[in-house]
Amino acid sequence: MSSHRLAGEGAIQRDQTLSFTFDRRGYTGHPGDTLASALLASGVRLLGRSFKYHRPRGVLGAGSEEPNALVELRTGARREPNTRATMIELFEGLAARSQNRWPCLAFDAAAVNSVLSRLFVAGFYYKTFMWPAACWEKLYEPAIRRAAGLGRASGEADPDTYEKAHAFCDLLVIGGGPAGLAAALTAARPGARVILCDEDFLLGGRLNGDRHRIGGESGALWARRSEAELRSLPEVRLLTRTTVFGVYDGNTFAALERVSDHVPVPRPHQPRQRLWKIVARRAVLAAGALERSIVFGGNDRPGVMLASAVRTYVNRFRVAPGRRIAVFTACDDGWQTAFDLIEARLDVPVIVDARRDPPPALCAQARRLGVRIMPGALVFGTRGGAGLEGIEVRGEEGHVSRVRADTLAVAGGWSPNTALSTHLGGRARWSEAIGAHVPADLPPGMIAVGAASGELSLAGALRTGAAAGREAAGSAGFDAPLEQWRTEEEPVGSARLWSVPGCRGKAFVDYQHDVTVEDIALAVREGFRSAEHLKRYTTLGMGTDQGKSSQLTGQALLAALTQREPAEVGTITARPPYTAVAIGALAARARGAQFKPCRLTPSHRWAEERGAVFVDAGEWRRARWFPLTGEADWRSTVAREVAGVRTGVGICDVSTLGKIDVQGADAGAFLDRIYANMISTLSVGRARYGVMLREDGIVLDDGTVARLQECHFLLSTSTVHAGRVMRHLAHARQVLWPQLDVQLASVTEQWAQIAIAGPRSRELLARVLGDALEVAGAAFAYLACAQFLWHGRPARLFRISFCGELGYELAVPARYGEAAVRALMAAGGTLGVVPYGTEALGVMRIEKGHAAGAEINGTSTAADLGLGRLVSARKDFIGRVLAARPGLAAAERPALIGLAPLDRRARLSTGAHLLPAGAPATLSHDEGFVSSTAYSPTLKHWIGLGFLSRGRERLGERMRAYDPLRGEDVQVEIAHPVFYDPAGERVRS
Amino acid sequence: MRIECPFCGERDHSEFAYLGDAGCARPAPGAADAQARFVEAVYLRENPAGAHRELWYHEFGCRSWVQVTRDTRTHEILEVRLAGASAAP
Amino acid sequence: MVDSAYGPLSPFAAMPASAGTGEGVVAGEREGLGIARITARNRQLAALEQLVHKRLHLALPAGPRRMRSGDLAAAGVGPECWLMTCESAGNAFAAGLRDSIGGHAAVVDLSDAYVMLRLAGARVREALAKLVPVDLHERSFQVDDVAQTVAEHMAVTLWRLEDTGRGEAAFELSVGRSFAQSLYRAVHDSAAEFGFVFETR
Repeated sequence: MSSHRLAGEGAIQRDQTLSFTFDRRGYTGHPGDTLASALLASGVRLLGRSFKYHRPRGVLGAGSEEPNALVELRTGARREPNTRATMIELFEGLAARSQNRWPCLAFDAAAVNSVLSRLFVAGFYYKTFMWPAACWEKLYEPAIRRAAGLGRASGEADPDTYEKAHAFCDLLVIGGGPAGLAAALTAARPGARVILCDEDFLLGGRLNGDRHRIGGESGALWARRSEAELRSLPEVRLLTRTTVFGVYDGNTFAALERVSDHVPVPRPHQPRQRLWKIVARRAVLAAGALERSIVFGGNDRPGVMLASAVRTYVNRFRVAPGRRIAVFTACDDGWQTAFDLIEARLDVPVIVDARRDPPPALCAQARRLGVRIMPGALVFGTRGGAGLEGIEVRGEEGHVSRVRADTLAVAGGWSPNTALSTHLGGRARWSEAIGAHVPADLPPGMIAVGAASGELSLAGALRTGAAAGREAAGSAGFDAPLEQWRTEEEPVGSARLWSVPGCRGKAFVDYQHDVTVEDIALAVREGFRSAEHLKRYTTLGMGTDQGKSSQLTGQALLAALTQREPAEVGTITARPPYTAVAIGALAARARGAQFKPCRLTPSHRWAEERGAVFVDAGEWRRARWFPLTGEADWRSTVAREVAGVRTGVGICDVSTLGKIDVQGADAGAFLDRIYANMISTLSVGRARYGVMLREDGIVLDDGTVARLQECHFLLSTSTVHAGRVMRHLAHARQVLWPQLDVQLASVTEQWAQIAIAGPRSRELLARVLGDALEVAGAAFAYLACAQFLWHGRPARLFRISFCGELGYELAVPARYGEAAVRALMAAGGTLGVVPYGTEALGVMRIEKGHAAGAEINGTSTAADLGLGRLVSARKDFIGRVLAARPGLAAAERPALIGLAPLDRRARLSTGAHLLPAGAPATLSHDEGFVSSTAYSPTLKHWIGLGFLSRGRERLGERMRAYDPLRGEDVQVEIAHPVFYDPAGERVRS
Repeated sequence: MRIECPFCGERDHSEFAYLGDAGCARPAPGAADAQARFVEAVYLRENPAGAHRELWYHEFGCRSWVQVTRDTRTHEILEVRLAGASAAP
Repeated sequence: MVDSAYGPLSPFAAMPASAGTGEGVVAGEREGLGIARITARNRQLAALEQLVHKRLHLALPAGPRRMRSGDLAAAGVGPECWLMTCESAGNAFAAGLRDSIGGHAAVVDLSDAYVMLRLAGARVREALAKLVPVDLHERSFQVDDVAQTVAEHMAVTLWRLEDTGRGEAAFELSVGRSFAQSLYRAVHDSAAEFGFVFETR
């Protein structure tokens, strides 16, 4: 089966054989093969069907720019579509399938698209699926979805893991060809920290595919020795199978390392892929150049390949892509392919050179080797079915000849791989010298070298690479001698032939998106002039390959058709990523349970033991309720917890609330500027409810302020706003009033805080605190606070209550939080103490009409929330001036109200709109909305909080709570927001 | 983008929270036209194509507010200093 | 009165104690430390420095560095702000500091606010490179250098210790106590390929 394998060394391990399947047929290859080289070695040339016309396609290239040879790799949950056969490293048991074909690769039903191709012209989608709009959902979209896309996703969860890593270096070398190796060696030898990335699994770049010589040894051997030397240096990191895919501001680069793509299943604890974020003082762009094809009739037929790829298959993989390989070239470089083929004893029937006068030396060498040459001739058509059988050539004088060939090596010249040079918005510059764009306006700290900079010769690559390496080392403080290597002269590849006139058959510019020369002509006829517009209209370069092999050709054709120079047309701006990156790699470990970090409360383990049901609230995981066996549903659990607190005593871990320690001689004055109400008048040992505004007059957050000592305050914030409030205070202290003596510290994590609430809470506290603190009788009044020692450890007690009952919050060092909860539960056994969760807490705060996140929602003022009486008129504070704006002080502002259904069995939904009774459900009648709802076990019916225009004047009014999303329409009565104990007697009891 | 925090050293911008224009000092609250001045300070922002002074908060670092002078066209950072040091108008 | 039932609990007790093979990264929890954040009062920096030097025999570092003196250490965590630690002193440390230097600095007890992992081993830098976006190369991050940064969305504080007796790098990594298990998971997963061992006493 390996009849296409040539003798000789190459870069494969012939002593080992690997088995694999393609479309379920078994084949073999060797370590060092790619799937493409192994299939070519087995004589397989048809690898897939094209996107639009379902035309047969084979391998075009040998690298990451491959537009054609896309396959589905692996099976089951690991199945991955659109992998490039040229990049897949062969492994034992590899299974690949061709894609975009039905029912089978050899016969494809949709190939009829080719016949109907007049329909599929540029702008096809824009023109065809415009109207009637009603057809979109039912007709157009399903049809497009069936036909479009390449390959199939597995539809299952990815079983592998991905990770991220950070790296820092003096020099990042992008590309491990001769220029990159020269740069890395030069900089690394004196000690600079160097990272070298190459997307191939073998360093050397073109040195592996060509028969260069450096300093008397083969280029491939030089690459091996250079790699070994680099590996021996402690400050060098070589990342093979790694694509630098993005350049970002601040010398930051993103690279994707395919850690396990070359093995069947990742080894234990190894990710499939690793995303590197690299910060590099200097970067050397040594990404090489990409060879272009030439546009001629039938140039997509399997067997038509890039000339450099043919060389790579012969020299590196020791594979003959065909038996009779013709060469069609527009530059000197194509001749080298012919010479290499003959060296490998392969039949080269003809070298067709578009130029009338190829260099005499090349002609002489070809004649010496007995190869027919056709200068000034053009290949204008191909013959064959699903594989090339012959080419049609038009000679200099117009005569047509046919040449039998199963492979055509096309050398259309080289385009520097400029993509990474434009990621920060730079533009590539047209170079007349090489007939392609070269990097210009590079990102800061980046130097382009070798073929990527337009230096297409090996000597140029080594020279520019070494110079850049020396510069980079110097910038990091290392004096590097300029390395020099001896090379021989070679043919290089600058060419100007984009397309062949008078073609027979379809002539493709972009193979992957089936964009033909006709499509470009049509776009020009329709008035498109810019490279960016051409790309979008024709979809040229918008496939997974991003047009690496086609973009420039399309632009040059656009230039020719609009009588401009390529320099005038310019090129597109490439943006990250350079090649496709799996979303899984970008997410890395942040998926599933590890999507984000989870903060656990001090009593978490105890709550787990009690069988608590948890809820994720922001970063925190909190106990939502504590079900008991036999309880019908969560509602009965919550009702029991609420009743337990209202009639006895309950405890709840409220450590998630933000806590900020404020100290300093000016702490009181500072807090007066932070809070809308007066703080500096607070007595030591007392706490006060406080509300803070943003400078625009809207409420930022609320909480309690406790004065622990004359110059020492403790603030509490809502759980979700803790970080934002800290940032706000830091801004006030550092930026607005740096002259004040104030010191801030977040102590949220230091203290476990446990709410103890209910008529019997004092009794429970007295039991656990013993002599540590006197709470009996009137000793510890409402809003008192104290610091004391409990069990020999610091502790704090606050008499504050969120639920409206007699209540306290006990704070202990976080490590002792669990022990404190256990102590309270043990002491409260005979009092019937109930642990309660966030749901009961929420129900009780709605019963008490306390605003929470749904009310402090970034649009409400203190007055809206009914907190207007708190706002001090005796001082300045953040938000004071703008809170007085007419719009924020208007009488028709929404005000916080309570509401209850007239039919006491009806339930209420958050989000319902408040409409006047009997008014139609239109926007003009929308007078407010429902912000929070709960079933009140205390009142035995649903209650809600909401905002209603002029709401405080409308108590008792009947309205509609209209919820079109849930299809609900409930008659409600507007009520005072405090449903339970409006006089507040219970908290003071 | 990387920001040279005056205390922590050079760090990725993702450690910082962005506030915006550093040129908006808090107006004198007692002035007769205080409301108009506050509206300007809170809502009206310079948006130059070029050097722009802006406030960032090193939230995942030393929690300093820093004043960054950044070229909005290139994201080049021209200067970073502690914001408090320059707060006086 | 210290009740034995009223005791601290390690958040790591239920976490997997090892992963992979080998000991590329060895972790252990630093328990019992007294930790206090001290912030100089306005225009009191020089006086505070003198006082700390006189009473605690410690020079407060000016930048993100750590200075040590016996059981005491001070790590710079912000302008005029330090995280001071004291071996085995627990919550009493901050109380003592307040008495000693409270006139010139705000002293806040954070002994419970952090959990701290000691990480050492031949591969510890490679594991940390997956966690923190800070250059930990031995030339860039020297012994007693301090970094406050972010690891998987968690604010972390990191400092480098003297290399171990085997010449391996060692660090202390701390995070807010509520994040303890998330941080442990992140360290565990990052170190697994090098061999991870959590040592309990």
